[in-house]
This record gives sequence, C-alpha cells and structure tokens, in this order.
Amino acid sequence: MSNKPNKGLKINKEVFPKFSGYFVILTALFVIGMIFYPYANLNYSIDINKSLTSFTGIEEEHNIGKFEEITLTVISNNSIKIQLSFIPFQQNGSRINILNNQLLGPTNSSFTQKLDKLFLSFVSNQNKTFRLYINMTFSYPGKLLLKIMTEFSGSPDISGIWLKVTINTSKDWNRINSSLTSILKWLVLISMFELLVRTIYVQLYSYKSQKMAIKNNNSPKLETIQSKQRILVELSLSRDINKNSLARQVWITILLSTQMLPASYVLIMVFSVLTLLTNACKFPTDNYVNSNAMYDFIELVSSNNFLSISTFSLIFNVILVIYIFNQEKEELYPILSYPLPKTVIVFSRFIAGVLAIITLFVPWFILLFYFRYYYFLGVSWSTSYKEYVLVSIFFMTISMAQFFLLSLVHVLSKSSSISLIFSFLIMFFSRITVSSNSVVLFFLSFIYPSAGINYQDFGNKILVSDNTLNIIIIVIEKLVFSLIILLIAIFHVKIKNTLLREE
Amino acid sequence: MGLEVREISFSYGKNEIYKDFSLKQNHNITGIIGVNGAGKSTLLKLSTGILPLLKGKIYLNGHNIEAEREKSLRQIGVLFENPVFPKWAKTLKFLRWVGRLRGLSYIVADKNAKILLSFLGLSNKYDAPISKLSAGQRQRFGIAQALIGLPPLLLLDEPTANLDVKGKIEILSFLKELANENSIEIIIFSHVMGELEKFVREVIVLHKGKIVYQNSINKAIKEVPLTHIVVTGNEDTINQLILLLEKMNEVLDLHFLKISPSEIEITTNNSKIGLTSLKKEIENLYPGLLIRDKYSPLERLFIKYTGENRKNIALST
Repeated sequence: MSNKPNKGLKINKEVFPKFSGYFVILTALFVIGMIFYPYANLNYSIDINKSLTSFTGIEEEHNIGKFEEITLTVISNNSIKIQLSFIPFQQNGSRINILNNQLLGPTNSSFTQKLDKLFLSFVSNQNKTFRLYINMTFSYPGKLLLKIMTEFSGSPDISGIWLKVTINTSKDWNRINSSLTSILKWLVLISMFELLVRTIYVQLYSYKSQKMAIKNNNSPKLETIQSKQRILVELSLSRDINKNSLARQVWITILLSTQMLPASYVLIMVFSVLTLLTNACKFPTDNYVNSNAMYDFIELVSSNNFLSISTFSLIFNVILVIYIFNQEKEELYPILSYPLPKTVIVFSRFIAGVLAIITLFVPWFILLFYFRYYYFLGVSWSTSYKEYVLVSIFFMTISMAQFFLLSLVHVLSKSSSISLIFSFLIMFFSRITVSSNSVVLFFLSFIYPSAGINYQDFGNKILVSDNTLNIIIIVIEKLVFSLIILLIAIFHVKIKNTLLREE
Repeated sequence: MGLEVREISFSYGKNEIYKDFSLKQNHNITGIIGVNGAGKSTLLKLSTGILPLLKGKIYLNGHNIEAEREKSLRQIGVLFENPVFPKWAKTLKFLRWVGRLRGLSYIVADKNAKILLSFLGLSNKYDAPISKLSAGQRQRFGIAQALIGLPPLLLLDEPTANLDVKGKIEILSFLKELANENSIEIIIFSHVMGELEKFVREVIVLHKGKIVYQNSINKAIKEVPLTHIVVTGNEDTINQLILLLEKMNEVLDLHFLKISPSEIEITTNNSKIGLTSLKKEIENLYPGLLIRDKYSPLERLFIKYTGENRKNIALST
C-alpha cells in the first residue's frame, strides 16, 4: 500500500501476512469451518402431529387443513431460510388450490419470508375464506418455537392438522457456503485491520527509516565505461517517439491500474463470488411451488439475511472509497507522471474499480442464470422473467450509479472535504436504496407499473416487519455503516497527508 | 530550457508551502537542496501535474504542465522519492509498458528495457515481481523507468537513496555522462548535499518554500571557506597539535573541541581566512594525522544561507 524501504518491508513481513500468508489463513479457516461448523450434521424430522405438546403457542382448536410438508433449511447460526411445500386438503379429500404464479393481491394466496419468520396466507377457491398464519422462530441450537395462529370466516369443513417439519442441512454446498461466508467475514476484518495498522505503523516506520542510511544493500556491479558508451548510443537511437494510439494507452493504463490492487482485496472479491455462487446453489430445485417468486427475489437481494450481498456491498464500498482516495497518493505517482492524455487519466480513475465492478456484475448474472434455469422453469418469459431482469438491472444500475457518482465527485471536486461529504451522501443513499425492499418496490411500482407490483399491498400486508420502526432502524444502521467506512477512508487519507506534509 | 516555475502558489490546506515562487534552471544539471519539509517533493509533484497549482505556471521544456499536460510530460522522466510500483508487475514487463506509454514501439521498448536493467545490475531480475526487489534494487529500477525513452528532462527526487556509497557514485557519474552526451537536462532534488557537489553544475538552496541561493556550483563553493575540520590520530600527536593551535589561536580565532583523546574538532569564526591553509599546514607537519572536513561545501553553503541548525543537515555518507 505504501512506500516501504527496507526496514518497513521487514516489519511488514513479520507483522502482516503477505499474499501466501493469506492463503494459509484462509485454508485453515476453511478447513476449520468444514470440520466444526456447528450444524453441519443437522438432519432430522419432526412430526408435529405427534410431538405437538413439545411446542408452544400452537392453537390446536383450529383444525383447518393439512400440511403435507414444511422444509426448513438452516443457513447460518443467526438466520434461517424457510422453504415451504404446502398442499392443504379439505375433509372431503378435495384439494384447496393455491393460486400459483400470481402476484400478491388481497384475494390471492401467497407467502413470503423475512429473516427467521415465515408468513403464509392463502385463500381457497371455494368461497370459504380463511387465513393461516404460521409464525416460526427458530433459534439453533436452542429450542424450536413454533406458533400457529389461524383465523377464518365461513364454515370450513376441514379436520385434522398434520405438520411435518424437515430440517435438512446436510448438503455439502451448505457447509462449504457457511465456511466461505465465515472466511469472507474474517477476511474483511483482517483486511480492514491490516489497512489501518499498516497505514499507521508501517508508513510511520517507513517515514522514519527514510532518514536512515541503508548500508546493507547489494551493490550490483555496473558495466564498464565502454559498455556505458554503447548504452548511451543505443538509448539515444531510440528516442524517436512513435505516438501510440489512445486505445493502446488506455489498455496499458488498465494493465497498470489493475496491478495496484492489494492482494487482500482481490482475495475478497474472489471469495465474494465463490460465496455468491454457493448461495445460488442453495435455492431449492424440486417441489418448489410458489406464487410470488418476484417478491422472494426482491426479499432475497435486499434482505440483510442474504449475507453475501450485504457483505459484498460493504467490501465494494470499502474498496471503492479507499482505493479512489489512494489514487491521489504516491502509489500512482509514477503512472500519473507518464505522458498520458488527460482523458486516459480520468479514465484510469474509473479503471480503479474495474475488478470491483466485475464482482458487482457477476453475482447478478449468477442469480439471473439460476432463476432462469431453475426457479422459473415453467414460467413464461413474458410474464415473469422480464420483471426479474428489470429488478436485476435496477439493482445493478443503483450500484453502478453509486460508483460513477463517487468517481465523478472525486474527479470533479478539487477539495477533498467536499469530495468526502458527497461520497458519504452517495454511499448512504445508495445503501438505503438497495437495502430497503420497500424503497425498491416503491421505485419499481413507478418505473414498471405493468409488472403489477402493488407497493401498497406489498408494504401493508406482507412486509409487516418493514414498518416505520424497521425503516428507521435500517436508515440508522446504514448511516452508521457508511460513516464507519468513510471514517476509515478519512483516517487513511489524513495519515498519508500528514506524512506527505512532513516529508 | 529545462524546468521553469513562474510565480506559483500552493498550500496543503492552511499550510502554505509556496507563495509567488519562481525558479529557472540555468545549467544542464541542477541540484535543488533543502532539508526535509523544504518543499522539494511538493515542487516535484507540482511540476509533474500531480498536485494542482493554486496560482502560477510551470513549464517543462517550454510546455505548460497544465495547459499541455501530455506534451509536457513527454519531456520528462521522473523518479519519485521511495518510488512505489505495481506490486505484482514484473520488472521487464513494467518497463516495456512505461516505454510504450512514452511512445516507443514494442521492440524498442523491450530493447531499451533490457539495456537499462542490464546496465543497472538487474539483468537477472527480468521476471522478478517489483515487490521482490530490495530497496536498492527498486531504486535502480526507478531510475530505469525514468530513463526509458530517454526524455530530454529528468526530474529525480533523492536518486541515490537506498544505495551504498559505491552505487551512489556509479549512478551519479552515469547520469552526468548521460546529461553531457545526450543534451539531457537533469534536476536532482536532495537533502543529502555532500554527494552532489561533484555532480551538479548549478545549485539551488530551497528553504521554507523559498529560494535562498542559486548559482553555479563553482561560484557556490568559493563562497563558503572551510571552517570546520576534524583531526584524528595518535594521542600524543593530537596533544602536540593542540599546543600548536593554542599558539596560533590569537591570529586565526580558532576553537577546538577534544572529542576523544585521539580526535579533535577545529573551527574558526574567521570565515575570510578559513581553515584551508591550516589544514595543509597540519598535513605537512603531522603526516600521520587524518584530517577531514566536517561539512561539505554544499552543507556549508546551506548553513550559511538558511541559518539552519547544523544538526538538521543530513551528512553525506
């Protein structure tokens, strides 16, 4: 990251793991994660009908339907994803159909999930309106709390409740994903720590060491005077300048710029992609009947529960802010002193985020691929896929806009304080935008009304937890989050500036 | 034409570094000397357009760095202090890139890169990542990237940093040859003054963002007589010398400080006479004694024009 004369490098090697060190740490974390991850071997079934008394809060008097199966899939310690196969039967044996493949409306059936809770509601097609709410809170490895509340109107001629809960997390990719997620979190922490400590200690030490005469260098013997003359002649001959094309200069600039990213950042990006890949694999591929995949998708990408997206967003911001600010520092001095056209200089600033951008796009394409080939089998392109593409583009656009705005502000503003203030605002609002599904839906209902997205319905009836309090919490969380990122960047820049002044 | 700075102003926030500062290079090899914090590195960054000017203009071989950025940067090769290069880039490859950025064809860039790496003692490091080079090797590599394409003006910040004594002499003499035989102008920014006097043809003393002295090196050296010497030798001989000095003291206004039984520091306040003739006389009378100047001429010049505490001056090695 910085100037490191001999002494600085020595300290750096001792205190901080270099590229190979990261691999060792990550491999160790991965192995530990694979072996000891607490719920790696969790795999059991509970028949609610038999063990009903062991659960609390179930209102048994309402025997209204039959659940064929509920499958719970545990993703991590702190969150749970619930996948539901739901086939209710009436007493006469006829099946109550759930209106599939329709967006949520007051008269349609649907379910959605949020964090560790499942909300389910449906309407029969026999004019016997009833609702079933299943509120499940699962806290592993503690107790399982299952609460079922029902309400209905009319006279449902239904008897018996049979609920089977299957918890199945034995698939290897779940374990791998858990380990990767764990590694990713550690990696982010390590990198941030590394960045701060390196900035403070190594650079200060480097600065001090500049004053010291370094005597232990190997002194390669220079060639003789005779060959010196030859060199002078040969170099002189090659002074003719053939102007390179702009495209070539841009390409060389890209090559140079991408060389600047520290190893830890590249590793974070790689692990982000891997984590997202395995996350994508976790989606159900069979017996999945759902009427509102669109909302699931929005929930998925905007939910804090989708750790990778959230983590990635953090990583992206950290990389972006710190890296862009770093560009002004001595790391890019050699490149900036080369005779590049101004357009290339400006372009090179954008190039700084190329790898980050790539990792920004990759997850979305993975998700799209997955949804297209697994999630939407049997759903026609015209009805749903377009909407998913739209949502994906929407998210990508926000992220891209964030990046371009940040870069633009940085390029245009001469004052670093103005740049920092605007960077903070952009970061904050973009994080809010992609984090709150209400905000996303609000935008979508405007930009794509024909998709049938009803913000009011969605907001009022399904996202019950996305109420005012929750929005305030989200806003505060993102505010703090953005501030922390910004403070790290400011801290980093301040120290460097101080050093520059001292020099 | 070299470097020309016209009435520039620059500050880091409220910390003003330059105010209406001007500078013009008059010889082909110029040394800009000053202690840390004098503004040398800032001047280099301003000259290369990395830091924006608040006011004024800077010309590189007649091209305005702000108005004709690309053209003016084509005129220069730059070595920053403790240069940092892409960590994973390999030496030869990176030099080729730089050569191509400077407008060389691939073949010429490759050839020049190999010549320079070979000459600078890095011929066995073609495929080595730059991060794996030692500090001294990285310094040599930095010089190579400044030289590739042989730009007509070289701006070098502490070019001999991290090099041993022999390496310093080799690099400086090579640069001198390069300047004399290829019409290249060189500006060296340095706080290590001792090593520059045999190399530069012009000296500029920079102090607190101002030029306090600018002249040819020959004239500069004449301005500062020898006022401090250190004599080392046999204890008895040193004692004899002290007796002699006490007798001469009334004429020469001498002060002497016994650093150790075998070492004595002699100074004079009479800068008109200086210690040059005394030094020769001691050499004749006591051939066994080792006599060295405490400060090099450039250091004396710096002390004279800045009034800077002598402890602040980096001694030449």
